[in-house]
Amino acid sequence: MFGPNGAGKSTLLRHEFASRNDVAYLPQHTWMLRGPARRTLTIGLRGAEKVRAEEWAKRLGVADTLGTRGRSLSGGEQKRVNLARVLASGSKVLLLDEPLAPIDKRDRSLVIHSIAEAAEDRVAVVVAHDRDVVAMLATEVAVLVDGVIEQQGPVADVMHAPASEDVARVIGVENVLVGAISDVSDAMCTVACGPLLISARRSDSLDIGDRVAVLFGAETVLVSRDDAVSSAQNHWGGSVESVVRLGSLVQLTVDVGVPVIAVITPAAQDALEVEQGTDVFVSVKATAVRAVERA
Amino acid sequence: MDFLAEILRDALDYVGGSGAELVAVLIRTIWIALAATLGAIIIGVPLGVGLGRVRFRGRTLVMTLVNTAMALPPVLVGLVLLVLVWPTGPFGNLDILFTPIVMVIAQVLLATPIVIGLTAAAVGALPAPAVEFVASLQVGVVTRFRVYVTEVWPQLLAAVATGFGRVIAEVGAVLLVGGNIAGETRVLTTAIVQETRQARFGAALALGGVLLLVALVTNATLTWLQVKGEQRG
Repeated sequence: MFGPNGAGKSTLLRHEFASRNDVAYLPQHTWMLRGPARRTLTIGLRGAEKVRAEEWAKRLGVADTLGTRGRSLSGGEQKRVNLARVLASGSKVLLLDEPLAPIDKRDRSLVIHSIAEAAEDRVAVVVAHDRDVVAMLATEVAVLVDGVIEQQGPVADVMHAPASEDVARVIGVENVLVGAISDVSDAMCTVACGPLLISARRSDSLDIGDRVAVLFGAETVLVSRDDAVSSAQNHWGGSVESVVRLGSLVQLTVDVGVPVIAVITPAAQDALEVEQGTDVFVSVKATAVRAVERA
Repeated sequence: MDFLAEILRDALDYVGGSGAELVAVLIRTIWIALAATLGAIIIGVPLGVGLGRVRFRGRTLVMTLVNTAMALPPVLVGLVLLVLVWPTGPFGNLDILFTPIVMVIAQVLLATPIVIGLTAAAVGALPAPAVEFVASLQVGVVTRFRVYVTEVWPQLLAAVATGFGRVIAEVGAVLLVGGNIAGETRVLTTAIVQETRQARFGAALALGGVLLLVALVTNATLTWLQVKGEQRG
């Protein structure tokens, strides 16, 4: 389950927990009981569940901390102790509210793999903020906006084809431009967004004159220094407005009449000799652009 | 000044000269207070946890009544109990008037609302993540109760200390239902009243000092446990 803060994800999960039997629930905020961490891990558990909880704690890398005072553990360790207890449950449904929220980058992969393993033969509903977590963990994703599931389906479908402007913004489609359809042909349309004419895919319900949002991810934008001919229907010239380093990538904002965001590698940045003020061309394939009805 | 010096001399003489009697009164005071506090804990803690956590219609009214009962006048409690256990009263056949048993009952009635009220306040003030975590444990009522008790352990000890303080220092109720019978129902507070009435201020002061010492030792122990509990948190 994916959505912005306050979208109602936790409320929905809490409601599910309250209204169903045989579900194990990991609340969003961790809590450690007084005493050693082992008490939080195993309280109320017996036999096989208790053994499984210890095993999950080991797999999640917190077995060594179980003898120490639970509240002295780091946020990430506390979350993993809480999670180990839930994963050890024999319940057929796991409800996990932001299981990766306070986990270090170093331990994220471990936790994701553990959840995936625990969910192999049961259903896990996971609330996540991070697109990468959804991509790594989920088979299906539901995008929540203002308490309503706006879109639900296989991860690839939702990520690559957000059904609305809200969904696009939530899942982090960087380019959301607003305009009106000026032409249609089959599954495609042309949208006038300020000075730009953008070729995009459209749904059957959209027609000339409709107000739409045009969506495309930053990773679909190709940046070049020359005006070379390509298969991309959308091809505009402009100047680089800003260059921002985002981890191992570089985000460029190019002013082509409207701001268009692209991400490139540092190697590409060096090769293109791109910096603020550099004139560049940006191209986007029409099939990577989607027009959705304006909310 | 001579008057005060004389009182102090009398006090020391009393402590030195009434050893066995003083020890008997002291032991009786402590066991009655401990028994009453234990009773208040047994009744008050579960009710306090329930009141702190369970939402039901009329909860505010119940909390108001409990809070009011925390300030019950001891003389009134003693009077009502006296009427109830009077030989011709509704519970007269129990034949417990002027016995330590009815003194314990009186003190339980005084201490229980304090334990209920303070426990409910502590459990009710637990942060939302704690409550949600306990709900997520999917354990039985007994385990949940245990968890809540340990989570509010330091506050619970404070509640117990307050309850104990209430009963050990109380005189109105125990005097009415106990009768201050020497060797049977006389406790430190009623003995103080007795000595004061006879203008034996030195003896009364000596008894007051012993009472203060008992309160100090008990509260020091409870405070130590409270601090240990906080450190263990």
